[in-house]
Formats: sequence, structure tokens, C-alpha cells
Amino acid sequence: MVNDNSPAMVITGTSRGIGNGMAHFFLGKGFRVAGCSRAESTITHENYIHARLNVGAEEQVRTWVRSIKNDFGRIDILVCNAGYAPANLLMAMTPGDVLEDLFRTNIAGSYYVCREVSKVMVLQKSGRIITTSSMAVGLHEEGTSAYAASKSAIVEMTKIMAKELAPLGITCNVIAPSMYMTDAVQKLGDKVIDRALDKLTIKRKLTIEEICNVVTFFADPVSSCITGQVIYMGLVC
Amino acid sequence: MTREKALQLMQVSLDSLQRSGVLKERIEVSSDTVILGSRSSLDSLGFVTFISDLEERVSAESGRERYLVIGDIHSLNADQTFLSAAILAEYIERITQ
Repeated sequence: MVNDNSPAMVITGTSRGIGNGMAHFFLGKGFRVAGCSRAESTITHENYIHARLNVGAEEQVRTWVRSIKNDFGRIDILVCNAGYAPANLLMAMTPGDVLEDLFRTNIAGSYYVCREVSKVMVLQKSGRIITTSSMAVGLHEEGTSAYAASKSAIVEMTKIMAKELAPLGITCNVIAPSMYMTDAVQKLGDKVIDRALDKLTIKRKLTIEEICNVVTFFADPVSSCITGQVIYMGLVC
Repeated sequence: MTREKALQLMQVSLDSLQRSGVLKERIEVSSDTVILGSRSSLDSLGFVTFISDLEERVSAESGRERYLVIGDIHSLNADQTFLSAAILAEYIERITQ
């Protein structure tokens, strides 16, 4: 680690997509970043440490967060980004194992990471927790019942967490991005992507800088009175 | 780690939380002290802070990473509606053996 005094940030789901972009962005700003994914790290940087784990596995998360505390000494910012969207399936066609795996990763995964990191932050009496919802919550599109439900749960969880942790100076907020181009989104095909973009208020894909701008706002020390809020990007909800 | 040592660490932890302002008043720890329950002096956030702090102290004292898992603690005391310092000390003794 180059600078032990620089802010310590945890981001889940850093192997690709928004998490990967976010990690690169904040490393470029001089942050120390701890990331995780099920795959090997795709980031090489002297201020980055990586763990391979499944955020839906409670024990793995517990051990991981402890190791970050030992390595960094503190955790200033958590971005719960890890999650996925299965292929669009009507509820009547969604298998139980797809539903359960989705809820385990998207809801329980965020829950476990937030729980363990909050225990570090309560001892610091400071911290910023940012969870990730989705435009799916506002669009109520057919085929997204499981995914949108999981992202809606994240909003409620975060608002309650915000009230619980407020007395100790920890803020908890939600970022809900619209369309960001990732490998997974690309696989949906141009037709699906164009249809989704057409439903947005701002009908274009987001940039990583725009997403990180919202994270930066939530994480800023001056945003200490901003908690329990959801910023939907590109969509009026 | 013995139960007596675990009780000592609880006292050290609670004293440090009082000095830092998390707790308003000093809590004197004995075996009968209620840590979690309606008769506890700790509110929910105070309990979380205490357990997190105690976990670090137990890890440091035992020289190994230790995790105080609330669900596992309660499994020792399924018939009670509160967690006493004695039960917590017994649990810490068990996980540090």
C-alpha cells in the first residue's frame, strides 16, 4: 500500500462491469480499494487487494471483512455492487433455484457485507455505505419480477440500516443506475437494449464517471446529513 | 481463554465504550449482568458496538481471528429471553479452546 492515510474503500463485484469501473476510478483518485468477486482479480494496482468469494456465503464474507480491517486498519466507504440480473423470465416460468440463487446473491450478499462492514464502522463512529438498486425497480417491466424484487429489497434494507446507524455518524444510501454497458447487458442484444433505453427519461447509457459522481457525493464528508436516500440515474421514479 | 478472562475483557470493552461516549454510564460486569435483554443497560446499537469491540479484544488476546456469532451464542441459552455475561463468557471460553 502506498498511502495508509488515504480513504479505505470496499467494493463488491469488481471483476467486471460497474464494480470494475468503480474500482479503477477510485484507485485513480488515490483511494485504497478492497474488492471481491467469484473470479480472479482483473485489477493490478499497488493500492488494490482482491478476494475471491461468494458474497452469498456468510462465513466467507465475515472472514473477508475481518481481513480488510486487518489490512487497511479501517473501512471508510462500502459500495455494495455485487449482483446480477438473470435473463428475463415471466414469473410463471422462473424456476425456484434461479429465484433462490438470485436472492442469495443480490439480497443476502448485500445484507451480509453491510452487516459485517457496519460492525467495523460502528467502532469508528464513521462510515459511508452505498448499496446498489436498479432502474428495474421503477420500470416494473415484465420478465423482471425476481430481479426487481431483489433490488427493491435493497432499497428497504438500506433505509432501515440508515436509521439504525445514524446515531454513530454512518450514512447509508442507494444508487440506482439505469443502463451501463457491460458484457451481460451486451448479450441481451441491440433490440432489448434499445427497448430498455426507450423507457428511460434520459435515453442513453451511463458512463462510469456519472455513476462514480453519485458515489462520490454520497461518500463526501460534507454529505453527512444525506442518509436513507435513493438516487435513480436516468429515470424519473 | 477462561471464563474469568472473558469477563475481564467484557469489563475492559464496556469501560472503553463508556470513555468514548457510546455508553452513558459505567456498567459493572458480573456473571449475572444482563448483556442483551429488557434489563440490559445496552441499547441495540450499544450491544452491536460492544460485541464488535469485544470480538476484536478476544481475537487479540487469543492470537487468532475469532468471531462472536450471535446466533451461536443464543443456541447455548435457548430457554432464556436474555443473554447474561456468564453465558457470553462460557461461549467465549468454548470458541477459544
